[in-house]
Amino acid sequence: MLALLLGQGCGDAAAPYATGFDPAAPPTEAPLGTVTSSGTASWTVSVWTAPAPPRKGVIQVLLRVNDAGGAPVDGLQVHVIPWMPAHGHGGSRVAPVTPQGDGWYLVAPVYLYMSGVWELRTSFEGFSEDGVVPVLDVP
Amino acid sequence: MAWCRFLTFHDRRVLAGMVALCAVIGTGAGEGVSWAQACCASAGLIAPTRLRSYEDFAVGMAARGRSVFGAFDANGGYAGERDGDSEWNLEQDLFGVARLFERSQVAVLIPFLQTRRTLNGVAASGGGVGDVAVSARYDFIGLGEHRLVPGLAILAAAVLPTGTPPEGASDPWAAGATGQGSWQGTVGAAVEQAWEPYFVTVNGLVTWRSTRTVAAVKETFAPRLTAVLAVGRVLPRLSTVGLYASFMNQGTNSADGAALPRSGASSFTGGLAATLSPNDRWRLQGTLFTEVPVASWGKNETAGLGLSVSLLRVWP
Repeated sequence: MLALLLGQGCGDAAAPYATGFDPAAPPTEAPLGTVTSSGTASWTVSVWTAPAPPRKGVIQVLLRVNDAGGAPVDGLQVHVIPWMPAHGHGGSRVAPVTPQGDGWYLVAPVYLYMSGVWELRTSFEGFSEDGVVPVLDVP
Repeated sequence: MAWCRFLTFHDRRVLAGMVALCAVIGTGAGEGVSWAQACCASAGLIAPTRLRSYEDFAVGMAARGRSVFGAFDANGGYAGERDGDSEWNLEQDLFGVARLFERSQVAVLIPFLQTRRTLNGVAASGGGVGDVAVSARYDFIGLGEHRLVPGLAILAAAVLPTGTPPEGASDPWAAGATGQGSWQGTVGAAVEQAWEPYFVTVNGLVTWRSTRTVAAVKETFAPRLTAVLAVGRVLPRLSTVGLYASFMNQGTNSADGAALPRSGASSFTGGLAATLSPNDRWRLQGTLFTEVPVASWGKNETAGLGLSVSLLRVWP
């Protein structure tokens, strides 16, 4: 799996998507980060969080998956496990993933109950080598 | 880090704080009061599960509370809790310590933990039996055996994954987590010296934690190094007071053989400790401790202020 450090720093009240994403309106802001999977699929996964940057508590994560040619990839079964690598444990709740169409996948709610580094260990069923690991700094 | 409850009383997450220097160590005794020697009374100042040289067996209970007031990020930056957020950790322990032969002692500790977290205005509470710990100590050279040669002991501890790991908690904030989900072993050494009525103890410990495999990912943990310095003074009637500092550092963990960047952790804890012995059958022990809330004095750990109290029934 590829790991990618995304947002850092403290959140603020004016952060975009403070109350979550609008399913009818995909974000127009640049993603917190983008990572390309190293498997044969070579997907490009872009990541947004609400709020942005992420902070301790419950957040939403929006993924956009594109293939090597830039076309959105639909129909994937996506699994996301929040994980704290410094402590060697995850969260108590599965992070549900809801396909939004056009390559968008909403991961919500995501419970980040401690400050520190959180990984979002993201795998795609049937594509074991194409997982990605966005890394969030949670103040 | 349940072994810390035995050996260092370091915070589980964990667990660093400002070392509050206290002049109480210099407090003198009243006239006509008998004084104990440091070689006899110094044991157990910061770790209740340790027998003194003239004790053979003890059972006890401990209560501990800690309030989290901030956290360190992976780069050592420190930030306080957001307004409205809070975390409380409570713990009650039952323990027993027995002397085996003349120079060794073995202890068993059963912890019960409760956590209450409030985030985004939503509170969650949980708790239960934690990770049971077993510890042992062998004194090669007892404190006071030789006038100039310090006491020397080896330490060992094991933590069993009897608690509930965070993935097994039922609440959204994992307040029901009471364990780390893996085995843990610790070895170390302790050096003690006394200059009546003062005494100094230095502990060095290395902790290994067994791998965890969660969601097909094998997590491997770097060894954890801990150093503890305690300075104390003996008071009348086998009582003691002192202060201590504990530094913990853990390197980079790995997943499926690949290093996990920024996964190291460290903390610096300081505290005051005291024991009160109304007679040779009962002992009251307490600590007040905190993690130093200063940037770069910790990594990937929370900071808080805590208090512990232990009551021991001792059989000399």
